[in-house]
Amino acid sequence: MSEENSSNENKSEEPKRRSGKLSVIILFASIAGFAYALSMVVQKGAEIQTRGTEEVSSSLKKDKEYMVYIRKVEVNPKAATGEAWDVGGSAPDLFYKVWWKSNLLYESDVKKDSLIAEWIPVGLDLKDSLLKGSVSVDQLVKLPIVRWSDAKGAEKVVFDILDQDLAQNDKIETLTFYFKDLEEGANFFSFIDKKDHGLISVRVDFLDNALSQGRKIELLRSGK
Amino acid sequence: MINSKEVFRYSLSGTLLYISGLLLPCMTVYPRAGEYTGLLKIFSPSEFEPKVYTVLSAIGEVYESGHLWITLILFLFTIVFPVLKMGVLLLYGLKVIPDKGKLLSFINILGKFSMMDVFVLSLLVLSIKSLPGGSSVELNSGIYFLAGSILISVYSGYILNAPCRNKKGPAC
Repeated sequence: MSEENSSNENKSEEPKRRSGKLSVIILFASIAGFAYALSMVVQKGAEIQTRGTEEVSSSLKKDKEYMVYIRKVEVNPKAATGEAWDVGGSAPDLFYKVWWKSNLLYESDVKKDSLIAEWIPVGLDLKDSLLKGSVSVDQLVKLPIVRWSDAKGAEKVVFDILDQDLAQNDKIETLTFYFKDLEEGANFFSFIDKKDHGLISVRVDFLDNALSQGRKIELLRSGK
Repeated sequence: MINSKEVFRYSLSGTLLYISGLLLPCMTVYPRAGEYTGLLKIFSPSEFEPKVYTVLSAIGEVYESGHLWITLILFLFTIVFPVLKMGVLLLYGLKVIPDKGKLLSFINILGKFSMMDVFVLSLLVLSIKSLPGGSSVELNSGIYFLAGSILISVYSGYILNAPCRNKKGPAC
């Protein structure tokens, strides 16, 4: 009788023991899973930190190619002569030219009647595309490419900022920038304290030409 | 008799899996715009980058879109109630809560307000269903951790309830 009882007890204890073992196995698996999750989060955090460090602006590097353009320009309400910009009192029709090694590389489109002009040089020329019958990625960004190749550090890029007129374009200001003084990304210059200067401020952007076309477009669009 | 150690092990497992599920990405959305994807991607590459969501980042996105009340509801039902439920089970496992009768009814109430299982199911449905323009949703590891946490939490409740179903337990 007592033997029968003990065998019955053993039978009822067995599923409990099995369940106990299962709970231990599940706990260990969960601990392993938790460790995996933590390692993934730490790894991701490190990745984000590295990316953040990479994106900090740095000086231009020698022998590296850059796309260069003026992002934004603000001109004084009156010309340096004290007269109105255009006949009838309208604001100037702003555009700029980029010179490098004494060669004209680029002429921007004209921003009509503007005291503050912003250029976002990403776009599709529909007329051009229709004539060609196709659209290629390099049609979207048309910017001059420059390279700082001079070892002495005297190499420069020159911008002419102009007011388009029917008879003759008026030069508002010529800006000369030395590569050694410039940074990758946005470069801000203020002339607010120079009263006879045609400009109030200008932003010149340098974009790494080695970036993918998609990344370039993204940066040009966002202006970051 | 219920083994409180066992309840503790299961509830700890459920908690660890739940935390892992919250930390890990649950889904990745791959946006597409049909046959125009290639062209639009040129103009706005970031819009077509895969977006990875964790449960918390999804709730954060709802908050950023200005839906404060929906954020609160989501937070309450997917974070607060499940955490309470698992916390109570853990405390029972540690024998901090001795009264099983009250505990069971409390867990039952919390379980009813827990929306995690609904959340997991809805994500599964979303991943199967095709989205406009060929956009797709891929489930990530976080969802499996959450699913595991739900199963373990349900099982913890089940083993607590077992003696009551057989009408043997003294606390029933």
